[in-house]
Amino acid sequence: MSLLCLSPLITTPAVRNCLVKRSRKGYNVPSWLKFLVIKGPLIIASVALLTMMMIVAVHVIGRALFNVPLFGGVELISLSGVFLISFGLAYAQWERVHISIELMIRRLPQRFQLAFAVSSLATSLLATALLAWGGVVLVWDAVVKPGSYTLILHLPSVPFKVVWVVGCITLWAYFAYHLIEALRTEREK
Amino acid sequence: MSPFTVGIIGIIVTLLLLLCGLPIGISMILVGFLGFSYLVNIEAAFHIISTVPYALISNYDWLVLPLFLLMGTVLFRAGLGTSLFNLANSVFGRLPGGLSIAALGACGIFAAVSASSIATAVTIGTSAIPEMRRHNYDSGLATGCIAAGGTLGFLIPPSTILIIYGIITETSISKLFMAGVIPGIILTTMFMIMVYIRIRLNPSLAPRGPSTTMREKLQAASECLEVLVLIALVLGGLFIGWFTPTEAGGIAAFGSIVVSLARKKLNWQKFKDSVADAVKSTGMIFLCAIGAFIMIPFIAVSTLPMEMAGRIVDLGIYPTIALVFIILLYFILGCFIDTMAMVLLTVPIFFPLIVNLGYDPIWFGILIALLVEMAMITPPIGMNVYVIAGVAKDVPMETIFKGIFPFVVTLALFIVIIVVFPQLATFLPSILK
Repeated sequence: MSLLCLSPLITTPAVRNCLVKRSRKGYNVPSWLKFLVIKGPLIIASVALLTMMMIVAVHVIGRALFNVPLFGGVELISLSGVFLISFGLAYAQWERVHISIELMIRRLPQRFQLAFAVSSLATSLLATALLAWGGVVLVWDAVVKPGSYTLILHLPSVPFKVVWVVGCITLWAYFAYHLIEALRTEREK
Repeated sequence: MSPFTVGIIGIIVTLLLLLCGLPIGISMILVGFLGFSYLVNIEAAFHIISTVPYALISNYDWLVLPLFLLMGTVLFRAGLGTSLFNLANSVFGRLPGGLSIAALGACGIFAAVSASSIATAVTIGTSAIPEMRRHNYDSGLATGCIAAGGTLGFLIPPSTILIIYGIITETSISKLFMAGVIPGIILTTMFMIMVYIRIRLNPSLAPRGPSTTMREKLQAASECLEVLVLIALVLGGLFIGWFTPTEAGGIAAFGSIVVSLARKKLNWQKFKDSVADAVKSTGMIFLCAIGAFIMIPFIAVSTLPMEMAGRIVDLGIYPTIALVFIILLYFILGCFIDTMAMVLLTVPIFFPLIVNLGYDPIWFGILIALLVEMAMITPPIGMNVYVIAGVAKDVPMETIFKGIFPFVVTLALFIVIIVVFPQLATFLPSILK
C-alpha cells in the first residue's frame, strides 16, 4: 500500500522538476550502449523465439521421422520462453503497446490527459518494482535452497530466474524513461 | 468487511484503474496483490508475486501463443493473404457481391493460420477493400464485411482467445480448437449468405463479378497450395494427436517461414518485422496474463464466484436466465473494455459459476470467443472497425459502423443458435482422441 501511495508523490511539481532537470543534463551516451538499450530486449526476445521454434521443429521432426525426440526438448522450449517473455514485456513497453483503455482519457483536456499518463506510468513503475522484487526473492530462494535444478536436463535454475529479474528491471527502466518523457512534455506544455 | 465485499470492491477498483488509462496487466497485478494482502496477509501476497510470474513464463503450455503469433505475423508480412483472397474470388467472384463473399471466405481461411482478429482483418482488407471499391461496391458493405470477417480469427483455430481461455480454465486447448471449427464454418457461411441476400434485395450495393474458368480456379489454388497444406498439417496433426498445441505452433511458425521463403515473399526486412511483431504481441499478452494470474488467487479467496453461484441457486434463478445475464454483461463490457481485459477479468469469475450451473466448459469457451468477436465490432471501441478505418482512410467511421450492423445482427443470431444447440461446439471435441 505504501508503494502505491508514492505514486502521487512523483507527480508533485518538486519531484517532477528534479526528474526533468536530471534527464536534460545530456549525458554523453555511447552509441553502442544506446543500441543495446533500445534494441537489446528485442534482439534477445527474437533470438529466444526463433530458438524455441527451431527446438520444436527438431523435436517433432526427430520424433516423427526417426522416433528420436530431442532429449529435454520440452524443457529447452520452456527455458527459451523465459528469455522471450522477460524481454518481450520490456520491448512491448518500449513500443508502448501494453493494452490500456484510453476511451475516457482521450475525451479530457490535454492537461488532464498528461496528468493521467504521468500517474499511470508512476503506478506502473511501482507495480514493476514489485514484480522485480518478487523476482529477486525467487532468485535468493533458489540460491539458498540446495538442489534447485531443472527436472530433465539438471540445469541450474538460478540463471533463468536472474533473466526474469533483468527483464523486470528493463521493463521498470522503460516505464521510468517514459515517465520522464511525459513529465518533460507536461512541463513544456 | 466480508471477503465477498472485498472481491466486489477489487473488481470495481480494477475497472476504475483501467478507465484511468493504467495498463490492464498492471491494474490486475496491483489489485491482486493488495486484495490478497488484505484478505490473507502480505507475506502470502509477496509469495504469489514472486512465484506466479516465473511459473507462468516458464510454462510450456503458454508458449503455444508466441509460436502461433509468429506464424500469423510471418504470413501477414509475406502478403500471402492476397493469394487466399484471389482463390476465394475465383470461387465466389461471379455471385452478386462476389468480392465481399470472397473476402469473407478468405478471412475464414486466413483465420486458420492467424491467431489474431486484427491480423486477419488487415491482411485480407489490404487486398480486398481496394478491389471492392474499384468495382463500385458500397463502402459500408466493403469495409463492414472485412471488419466482421476479421473477427473469425478469434473463433477459427488457432485463436488467441481460446488459448488464453484454455489456460486460465485448465480446459484442453486442442479440444477448444476443435470446438471452434464447426461454429467457425457456420458463422462464415452465415455471413456469406447474409451478404448474398442483402445484395439480392438491393442490387445497387454491389455488382456481380465475372465468372472464372476451372483453369483459373486451379491456378489460384496453386498460388496458395502450401498455405492450405500447412493449415491441414497443423490443425490435422493437432486434432489427430500428432502434436501438442505448442508443438503445432512451432511447426506452424517454422512451416510459414519455409512457405514464405519458397514463394520468395519474405525478405530480411519483412522477416525482422514479423519477428518483432510477434515479440511485441507476446509481451503485450503476457503482461495481461501475469496480472490475471496474480488476480486469480485474490478472486478465489474472496469467494466471489462461489458466493455468486450460491446466491443464484438460493434465489431460484433458472440457469438460462443467469446465462442471458452473463451474455448481456459481456455485450455491455465489450462496448467499453478491451477484449483481452474482458476475458482475463471476467472468466475467472464466471467460469466456476457456469460450471456450477451445469454448462459445458468447452462450449462456454466458444461462447466467450463469439462474445469477444461481437466486442471487436460494436461501438464505441470496436477495435476491428478502427483498424479497417486505417486501411480505408476515406471511408467515414459512421459508414463502417452502419456497414457492420447487419453482421452484428447475424452474429447475435448465431450466439442464440449456439446457446440453443451447444452440440455445434461440443460434437467434435467429444470425438477427439
